[in-house]
Amino acid sequence: MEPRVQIPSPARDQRHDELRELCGGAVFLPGDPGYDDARVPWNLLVDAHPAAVVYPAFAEEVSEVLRAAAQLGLRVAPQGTGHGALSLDSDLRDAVLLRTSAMTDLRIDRERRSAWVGAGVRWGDVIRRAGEVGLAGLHMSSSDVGVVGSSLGGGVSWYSRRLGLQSGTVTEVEVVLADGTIVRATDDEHADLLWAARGGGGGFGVVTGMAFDLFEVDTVYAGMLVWDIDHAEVALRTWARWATDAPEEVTSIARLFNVPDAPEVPEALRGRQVVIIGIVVLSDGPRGADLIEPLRAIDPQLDTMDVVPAASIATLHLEPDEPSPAYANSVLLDELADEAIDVILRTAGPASGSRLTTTEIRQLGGAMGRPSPRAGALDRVDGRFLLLGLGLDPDPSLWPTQRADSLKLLAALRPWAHRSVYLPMAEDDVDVERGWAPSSWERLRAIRAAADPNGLFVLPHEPGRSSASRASRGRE
Amino acid sequence: MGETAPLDLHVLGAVTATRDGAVVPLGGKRQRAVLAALVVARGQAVHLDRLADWVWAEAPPTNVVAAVQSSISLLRRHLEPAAAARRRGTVIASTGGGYALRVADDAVDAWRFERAVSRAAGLEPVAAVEELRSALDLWAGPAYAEYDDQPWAAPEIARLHELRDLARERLLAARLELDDPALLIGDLEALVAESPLREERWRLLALGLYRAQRQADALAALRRARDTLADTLGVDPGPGLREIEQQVLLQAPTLDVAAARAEPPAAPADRTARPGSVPPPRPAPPGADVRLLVERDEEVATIAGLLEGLGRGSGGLVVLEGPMGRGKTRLLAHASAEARTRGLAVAAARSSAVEQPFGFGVVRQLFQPFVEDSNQPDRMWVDATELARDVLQHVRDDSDVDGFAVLHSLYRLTVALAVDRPLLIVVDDLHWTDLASMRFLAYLSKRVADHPVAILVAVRPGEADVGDGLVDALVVDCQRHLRLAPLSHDATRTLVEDRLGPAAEAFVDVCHRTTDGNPLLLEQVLGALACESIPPDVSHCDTVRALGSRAISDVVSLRLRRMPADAVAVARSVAVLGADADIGTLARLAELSDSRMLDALDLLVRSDLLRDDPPRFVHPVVGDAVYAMMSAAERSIHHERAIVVLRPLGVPPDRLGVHALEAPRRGDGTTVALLRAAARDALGRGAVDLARRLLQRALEEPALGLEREDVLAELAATESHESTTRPSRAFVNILDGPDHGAPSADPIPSA
Repeated sequence: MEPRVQIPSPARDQRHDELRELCGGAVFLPGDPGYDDARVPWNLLVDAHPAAVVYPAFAEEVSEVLRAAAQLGLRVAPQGTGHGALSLDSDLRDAVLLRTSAMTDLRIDRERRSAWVGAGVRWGDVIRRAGEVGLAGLHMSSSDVGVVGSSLGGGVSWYSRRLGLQSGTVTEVEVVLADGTIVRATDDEHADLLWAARGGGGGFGVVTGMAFDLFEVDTVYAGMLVWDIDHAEVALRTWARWATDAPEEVTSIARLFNVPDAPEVPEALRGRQVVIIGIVVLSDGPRGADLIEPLRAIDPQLDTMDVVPAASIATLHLEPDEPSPAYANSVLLDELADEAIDVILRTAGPASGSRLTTTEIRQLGGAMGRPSPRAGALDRVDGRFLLLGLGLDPDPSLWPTQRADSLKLLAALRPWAHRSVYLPMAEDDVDVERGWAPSSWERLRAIRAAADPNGLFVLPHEPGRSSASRASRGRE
Repeated sequence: MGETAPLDLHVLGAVTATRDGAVVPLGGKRQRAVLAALVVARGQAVHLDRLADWVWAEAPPTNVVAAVQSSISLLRRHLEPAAAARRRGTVIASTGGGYALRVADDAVDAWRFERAVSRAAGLEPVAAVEELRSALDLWAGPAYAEYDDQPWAAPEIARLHELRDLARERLLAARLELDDPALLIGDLEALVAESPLREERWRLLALGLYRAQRQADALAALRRARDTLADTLGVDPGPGLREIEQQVLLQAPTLDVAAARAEPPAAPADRTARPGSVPPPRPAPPGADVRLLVERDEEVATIAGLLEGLGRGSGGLVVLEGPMGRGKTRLLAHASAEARTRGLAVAAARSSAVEQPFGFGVVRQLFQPFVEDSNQPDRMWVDATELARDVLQHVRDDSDVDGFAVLHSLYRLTVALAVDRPLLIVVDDLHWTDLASMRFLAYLSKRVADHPVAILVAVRPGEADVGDGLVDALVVDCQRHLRLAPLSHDATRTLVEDRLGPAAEAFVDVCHRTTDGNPLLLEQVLGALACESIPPDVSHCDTVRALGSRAISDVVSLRLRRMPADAVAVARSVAVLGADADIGTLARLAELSDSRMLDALDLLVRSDLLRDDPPRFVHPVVGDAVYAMMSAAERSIHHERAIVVLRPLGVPPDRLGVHALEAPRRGDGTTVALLRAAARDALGRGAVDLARRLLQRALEEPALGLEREDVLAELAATESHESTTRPSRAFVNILDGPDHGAPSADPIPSA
């Protein structure tokens, strides 16, 4: 074996000096105290070792980062909170990880019912501030997720069956292109970039901020219905039929949940195996109660459905805010027949031996199944349901098992699967082309090529990546 | 629609409010407690959770947040009945996550009282009696009467009562100068009986008895004082009592009414900053102390020890050392405030890199307030020579200044000042002290042990020492050398929660690690987070990392970028004006109306970027950051306009000259004239380097014409000046050698 000799490299030192100067010193290089804290995203499954982690606070600092990286022969991987970090499945050794947490501007315009957010703003911030003036945004099920990142991916919200995807609410973006140019894209200027930002993922620049619509939602009829896991079959079958015909004001998620013994879940549920149906109805109490009557008829053991402030549904999905090892992979389903439910229970149910934390089925359709009025790279999500296998176990020895269980579940559902995939909730060897309609994919590629001719940006789900995720690498 | 008649808030007694004399209903005890707590905070924002803790401590309702909010809303309705609901909030303003009282300085009786007491200190006896009487009349009962058992009110109540005791003492002291002393003995005895440990009361009683021709009773009273102090505390009487005992025994003429000296003012009577003067820092508002001095117990105790000793007449030297932002400035402010409450005199100065070229700049900062105080007796100058007067009063003198003679003269001036009241000298950022002042401090420090003069300095380690080892020499000599430790995890939590409310452990952890326990950086990061209402939860840990891993100056510039244009303009103006920044000059330089300027100032103060009254950056590094954000051209124009703003105010030429150094080269004669005058001024004080820079700058003006010859001649003249910015070897030898006692003003023989 050849002994490896570490030769001091003047080129590397110079590179370090130039990186140090960026972002007012908010730069972490390998070996710095704090580098390990900075490089680890929310998703603890990711174990990348970027050449540097930088925290620009505004667009001009992003420009400097992009120019410096290009000059030093490094690529750039923009990352918000890192919830979807697994899709950046590369070790990033030759890339600068650009984290957007310092971009915290948040302005709510009550009159115009719109918000401007910097790329470091989380949904929780918007929910709180917009809620104070009686408005709501199309936020995700986790309030810890970044607004810009989730809007770039599409954004399936608790309100999406009535109000569409979050990406369809975006009216303006501030983008830094690969050459460092800062542009404001609207429907009139740089319209291609705005189109790409509506669900196009990334790869055309670093989005440093965006404006989007808010809605007059003050209260909703929402909560959850819970059964012990023994009642899974009847609960899922009843729900599937109900959800298929439900009006658009209803959005719901059914799941088999191995509830962790964690503080963010209600005490009554801790450590149990249950079926939970989370429901949000954009209606008043009587109408909501009428609508969910078929589900109440099968006697939930816990029923929290009530008229609540819209902001309170931020925590309805019981997701952890602290960084967690999350493996989440999904498939879009055209229908949820009884046979499909049998397969789900056989593969992921209580007797299956599956180690997934949740197996969840999200109700799609309605406004998010139709083309959005605002044209975008992703203007709808196909299929009636999205099936997601999610592993969140803190024990690293279980990570490969969770991944295998998730893949097994998705494979079993193949007979009912739609051709497309919803990329923000897809992992592993996903065929990126299937994330968009063919014509949209062509246009997106052209826009990316024009905005980033030299391939500066590390793309989510990039082909030919070297695998860095701990889940796929497994553990000795 | 604003309320027409101004609102009056009363806390000296029960907590009530009146408008135009009519009582404004405030609701029940808890609701009034919310208002009282905001008064205690003195306009500083109080976080909602903290209010809840304070007011509902023993029995919080299930939704305590709603309870606070509803109290606030009801109070607003009472306090601003004419305003539409949405517009209410001018008296109780909402801040990020909390509330702050926004009323005029004279709207609260306790504030009026406090100001009147400090104003009275600078007045002649007749006026002082009037002022103190009407101030004491404001009291309708014990302060915050119903809340005397509340922990949040206790420190403020104690402070106000202490102030009232002081006012009563001063009232009797002033009356002793006017009234028949025999009529006052009863009052004095009653005062002593009330608090027999307050030495000033015994002193006044003895003085009254002596003046009432009862010398034996005066001495007996002093013996009683000595016994009481010995029995209760085991201490001897302090210098005030010892001195009066001597004087009674000697029947000293100074005890007679006509010879009685006016006390130097406890605080500058005039709050508007005069150009060139640096009013001593104001004591921090109650409640803020905890925040500012967290984990500084040893330092606070050492300062208390120094002041204790000073009160007994023995001086000392304490050095605080720590890197930028460690909290040195805060401790010095605390020491100054503490010294004043103990009745000591304080001379404070802050050195700065920018002002280092000014010869004796720090000495002038220290003593100017005394010089400008018209009540200061001329006797002060008796011991000092004309040389000290020249330095301080800025009289130009073309004769060559003998460095040593000046130092000795200043030393004698210092000692003379301390005869009336022990003197605490405070110098911040000692490493930037101009050389002449540094030499004075070194000279003085060798001699303080025998005089009631204490020196407290703060120094940053690792800064270049312009004084050729003088700073080190001072540090070696000092009585206590305290190195300030970084904040611990617990202290970080205290500060985080004080600003942002209850915080997640992971959030505190990242704050602590990212800021390395630097209180200034932590304060700025927390300020940035508070301005954007970012909650201290797990989700925002990376936000802390993103902001806090910047250098302090970068955090500041980032914060300023996100502020409204008016605030930025005011911050820049403060950066350019420095010590000349006050409400008037700022409005003019920032080109804002007074009200817009005040709003901007308020925002900057609430954001922890500025301290108010006078407007100064919370830390020099903050000012440097703001200054550095301006382009060279912007700075140049600002400095030019600063001259226009300052010149009509009679600012001395050398201070204008510093602005002229940076002003654009327009080739008009006024700049050259200004620079030449400033150079003459600087030379007069021995600041040769500055004079040279000013003249060289004058030469850069285009189209100088014939004047060029004159400037060159003046420049040549400065070159011939024996430079006083370098200490002679002989001088260093004197400092290093054994103390020669009070040296003569003769030239020093070279070693």
